Amino acid sequence: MLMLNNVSKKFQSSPVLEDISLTFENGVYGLLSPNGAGKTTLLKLITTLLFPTSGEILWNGQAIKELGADYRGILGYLPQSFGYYGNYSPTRFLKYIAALQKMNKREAEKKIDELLELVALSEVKNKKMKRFSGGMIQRVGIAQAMLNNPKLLILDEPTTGLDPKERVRFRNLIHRLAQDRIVILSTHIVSDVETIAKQIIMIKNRHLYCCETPSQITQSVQGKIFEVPAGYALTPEQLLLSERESHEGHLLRIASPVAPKEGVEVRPNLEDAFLYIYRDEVGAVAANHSI
Amino acid sequence: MNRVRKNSPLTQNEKENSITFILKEVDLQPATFRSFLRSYFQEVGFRYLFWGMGDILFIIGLLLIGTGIMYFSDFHYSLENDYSNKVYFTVFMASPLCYALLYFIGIWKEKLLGTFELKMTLRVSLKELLILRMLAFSGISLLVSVGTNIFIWQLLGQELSLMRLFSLSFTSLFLFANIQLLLEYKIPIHYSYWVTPMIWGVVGVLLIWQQEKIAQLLFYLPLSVVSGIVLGLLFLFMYLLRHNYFMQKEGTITYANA
Repeated sequence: MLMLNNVSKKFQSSPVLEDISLTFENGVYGLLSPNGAGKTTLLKLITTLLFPTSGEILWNGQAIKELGADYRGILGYLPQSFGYYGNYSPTRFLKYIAALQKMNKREAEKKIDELLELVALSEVKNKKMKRFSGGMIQRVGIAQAMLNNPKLLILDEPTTGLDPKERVRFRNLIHRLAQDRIVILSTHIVSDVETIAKQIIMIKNRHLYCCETPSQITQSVQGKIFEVPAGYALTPEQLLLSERESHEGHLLRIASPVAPKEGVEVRPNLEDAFLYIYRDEVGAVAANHSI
Repeated sequence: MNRVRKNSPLTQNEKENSITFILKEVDLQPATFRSFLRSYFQEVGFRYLFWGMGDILFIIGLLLIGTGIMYFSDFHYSLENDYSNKVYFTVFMASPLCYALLYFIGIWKEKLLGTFELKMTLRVSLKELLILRMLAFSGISLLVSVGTNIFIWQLLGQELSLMRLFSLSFTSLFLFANIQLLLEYKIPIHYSYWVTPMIWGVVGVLLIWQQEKIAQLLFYLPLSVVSGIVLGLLFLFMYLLRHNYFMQKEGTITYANA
């Protein structure tokens, strides 16, 4: 079990995360926040790359900072920008990672073959990685993170560069893996975690906004999501979520505190909730785009 | 129903019994620097220490040969004009070059490839690898120094003191390595890989600026004193490496864009 007790992090004097308390048990946790909310900082704190300014992080009751190599031995980590040695093959690279994880040589070889099969790279396992596509590199990254059969798997934006088919395959894989381990998956793509996450963690204004199931988060915007015709003029308190084409014509999906006159209430999804919760940030991004 | 739990503190005897029981059950083995070195070489092996550094070793080899060729004519000129203190000064300045290049280019490559942070989270972390590499680089640099010094000594007609060449070489090598380790303590990793080479650049310029005085000092310093300094610096190097191993330091090279 991983516990974060009142964790805060400051860079120089500016706070990035404040008073974060979380408990993780086996299952997938989706860390879902807009860019710049502090997701990567939180993951770096959990991977011991950063130390909390205050608070503590415990693995099975022991401070991870004190556990050192023992903690790193149960950790699998895929960083946001996964680095690799282009002149080496995936097999050779994974053998190197296995050696640094102090894995038994025979077990490592078996595990490498299994993982390369799992991430559909068996055909190119002895080819140099510099010729690989972004998606293939990302799959090597996923394989290296799972190499030591980690009890705690941390994936920072893991679906970057994956095509839709690979994305689905990856989601299923993570769901399966999470049966007997903690998987923390950071993303700003809602569909990555909507169906597989046991809980969704959201950070807003440096604080923990929520850690709830996707359905609980969706419930929070129940009765606030509507579809209106394209010509509808939005009031300041209403938020445009998305647009779609239907047999009734062009429709706007909006969040509104009260039912609009021409609006039809629709069932909210996690993306609606995400956009509604981060409406200030979404508004700021939209404003920047319109400039 | 009374849900309040009665909190009865343990007696001193019970506490001691508990501690004795825990100590008996748990196989407590203190982590030592020696056990770290032993376990690395037993469980991981020497071959992975320089993994991915083949190109770096090749480039540094070429650089060192190039530097040697460049300075050779200068050496001859110095000796013919009885400027042997200049030769000692050059040897003193150039001796940490191999170590410095291996260390900085190694870190720079990890940063360039983006493998730095990933390797910091492995059981044998990059921080530990760097400590082992520093140890190995010092050994390699010593061998390179010995070879180069014998080569210079032979080429210049065995007129210089070989012992002085060795001791000055080793002094500057371990002086550099120790100050580098001290800088590592003080400067956060996320900018140490470019700040420390700059500091060394400034130090190099200052030393060249005061070249005459330093060359005189290196020439007249008694050999026994220099040898003593070498030994002292060698022990300090081992101590600082050990200290670096136990020191906890943030391992990120990039801060989040927060």
